[in-house]
Amino acid sequence: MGEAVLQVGELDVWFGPLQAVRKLSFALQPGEVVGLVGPNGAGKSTTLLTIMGMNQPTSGSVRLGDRELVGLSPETIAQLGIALVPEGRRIYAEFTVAENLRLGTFGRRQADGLEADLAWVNSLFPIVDEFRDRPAGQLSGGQQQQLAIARALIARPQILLLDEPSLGLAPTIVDGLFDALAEIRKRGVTILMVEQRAQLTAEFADRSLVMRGGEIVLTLAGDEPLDPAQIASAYFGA
Amino acid sequence: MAARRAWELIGPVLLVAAVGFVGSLTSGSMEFQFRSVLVIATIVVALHVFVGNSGVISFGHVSFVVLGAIAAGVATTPAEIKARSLSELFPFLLDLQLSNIESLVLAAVLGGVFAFLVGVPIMRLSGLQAGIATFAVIIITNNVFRNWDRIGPAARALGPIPETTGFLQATIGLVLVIVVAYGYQRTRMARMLRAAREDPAAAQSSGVNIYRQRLLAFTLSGAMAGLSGGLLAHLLGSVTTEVVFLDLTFITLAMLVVGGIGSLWGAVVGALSIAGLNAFLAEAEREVGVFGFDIDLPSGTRLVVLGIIMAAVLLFRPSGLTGGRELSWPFARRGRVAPGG
Amino acid sequence: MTDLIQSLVDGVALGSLYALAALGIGLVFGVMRLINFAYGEVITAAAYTLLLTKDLNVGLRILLAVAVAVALSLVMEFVFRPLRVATPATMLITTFAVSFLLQNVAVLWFGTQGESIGFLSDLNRAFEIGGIRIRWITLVSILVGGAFLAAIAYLLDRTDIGLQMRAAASDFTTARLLGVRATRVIIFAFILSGVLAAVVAMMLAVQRPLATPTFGFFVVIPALVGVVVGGLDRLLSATIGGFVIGFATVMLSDLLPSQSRVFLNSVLFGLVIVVLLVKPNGLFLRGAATAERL
Repeated sequence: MGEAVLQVGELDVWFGPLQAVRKLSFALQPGEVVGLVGPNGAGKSTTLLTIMGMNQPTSGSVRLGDRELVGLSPETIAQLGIALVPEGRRIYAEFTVAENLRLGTFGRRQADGLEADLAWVNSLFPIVDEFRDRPAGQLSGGQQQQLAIARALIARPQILLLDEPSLGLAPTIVDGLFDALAEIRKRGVTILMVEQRAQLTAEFADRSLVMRGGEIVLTLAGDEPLDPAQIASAYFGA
Repeated sequence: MAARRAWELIGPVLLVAAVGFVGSLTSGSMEFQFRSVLVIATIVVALHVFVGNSGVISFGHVSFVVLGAIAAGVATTPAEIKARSLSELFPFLLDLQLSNIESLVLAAVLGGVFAFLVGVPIMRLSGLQAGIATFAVIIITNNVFRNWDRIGPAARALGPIPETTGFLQATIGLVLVIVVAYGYQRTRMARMLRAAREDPAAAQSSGVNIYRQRLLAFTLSGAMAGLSGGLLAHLLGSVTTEVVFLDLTFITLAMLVVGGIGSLWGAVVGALSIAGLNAFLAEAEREVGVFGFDIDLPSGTRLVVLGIIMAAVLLFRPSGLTGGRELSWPFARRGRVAPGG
Repeated sequence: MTDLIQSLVDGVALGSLYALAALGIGLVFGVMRLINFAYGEVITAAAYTLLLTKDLNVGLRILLAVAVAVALSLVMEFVFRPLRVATPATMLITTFAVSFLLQNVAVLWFGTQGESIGFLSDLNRAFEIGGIRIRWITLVSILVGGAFLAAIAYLLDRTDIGLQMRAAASDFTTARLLGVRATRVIIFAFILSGVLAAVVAMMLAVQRPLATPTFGFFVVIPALVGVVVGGLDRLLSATIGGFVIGFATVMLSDLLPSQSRVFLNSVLFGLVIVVLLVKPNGLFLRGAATAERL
């Protein structure tokens, strides 16, 4: 194992009297694709939002390289090279597609290379260029998801966090989405994705972490054959 | 347990009685200041009944106070003086002549009716919208009272009003509103309203009619504010619409906030402490020796100091001096947290 | 007929002033969800600056008024930082408290009597076109108001910081996740609103040349009404709301019989309540009413 790009250690997150994440530890290797699966309320989205600095953990650490992220503001974390595609996409419906994309550039660390990144994003998601002057709210759900991912990529992140990217999309669109993710992976972007579709995710990812009750209860390697019974027991408890 | 519950009522009442007693030993302008403290605290407790239980902010309560004050004043100013100086009044107001107690009852009833009428539309709003709407109410009330000389003194001063708000009446008035506020707080209706304050969606889904509960609290609170307006008129001896307007709105809200929104104890503590400080500063502005110090503050200092205190509490301790909790039973084991208001 | 045109012109002039004040309130509300009652005191501070610099030349007076307004606005931004996580009720009372505090500081400093500002009073002279007398300040108000509205519209539409402000106003959390610096955007909004306050103060100082502690308060209250009536959630609707209130004020006071004119405030604020009840999100906000976010 090489040097981890992101290291989450002993993370505890509380919402009032409820503990959402307990003693969570995992690491992402450079270029790795890791799935985060599990039932509703397992703490998956909370984990992503905590990495982004939207929730303050009561204890534990999140390290990007050798930089501690806990306590930093979301915008600082974004500018350090982590981009989140939030649940529900959260595109700006009344802004144009081009403006949505431009918003993504505020998370960039370096100014140069924007042209090339833009060209790549446009080739990955042609609709982003094609419909550039349309209000983003007029796009279909799948197109909005493409825009949300494009917006995250234009920040040229080291790590891409995806929260339920396939939620509410038709199966054929989901296939296209995973094709695009495969292209992104080829670029060496490290990906951590929260997904409801455990099967699809486990096949796509290098590793999948199954969360329940705020903890990782099972780790699945991508090349291992899936044992549905094992997953079911991890999801629902023995 | 019962003792502990009762303490939430007895504590504030004892404090008020103590202030009333100490005040009755003073004389001159200090004596007047003590009586004002009690009357202003009455307004704050009235305000608390709505704001504290509903969690909705009201900039409009001074509307009910001014109505109560003018009603009580018009009803008790001698008829011959009214005929001379307020001749434009509606004839029935010129003829209206009530005793002191009757005028206070009238003030309370009118305050309640006015609050109900205003509440019917605006209790549907919450948050920012409710704040703005209640602010609109006080502006309209002031505008109407200031310019309509058939129902009040308009831009002139109303009086002389019999100055019947002595220590006895001021103390009884305040204790009365505290008892009513406490009594209301213990009812099921108030508990539903407080539940709605914490979690509107949950309360609504469990069948609480938030609108109706708010309207009830607003009406009750308006009646109490009307009563305190009556007490105020009988304290001051003369009333103008400007005296009962934005300054008073600000000061009473400040007291509620400084004490801690949400609890009766907070309302009483906030009112007495800020009103006490206010009275002290008012005395100091008039250059008097206080506790051996000769203090002479330029007039206006009082409101600046109050403004700073209020802003500081809001910014750094938004839950106020009491944290919005009721007075806890002093003989309980240490380290136990009193149940929230 | 000429009377009507006269009223229309005056209405447009007051409307553009209130529109500027409304925009100043709306810019800050957009990025912080904060209704700043104390905005009036920024206007008042600029007016007092004009008063205190009476002996300097006009250019310098304008510069200083803008500087003081922006500085006070920035102080407010800093003081209000704890409010970013506060409830709407706390926010409202706090800015109300700061407004009240500053008004009383002004009372302490300058007294309640009011002093003559003496700023560009020549602009009160009138010229005549086709039987309509138009004061120069009316024309200047309309032009300056229009120019600032256009400049800010351009800024919001075309620049990076403008895009960031719009994004922050529309969905603050997502904007931060994308790397938009929250504090920077908020500071920028306060600076812009400070500049607008100074502009409003200057236009007003010509027409109502008496500096009093409530100089700005009584501009901000109707502007605030306009913002709420127009719709808080969009800068455009808030600004139009401000304009409409200014325009309606002139129209009503010219149209109402003179003995009912004193009840103008009641009519305006009655309108506010009606609008809040019927269209809580504002008159000029199109599209589906969003759920109450407060």
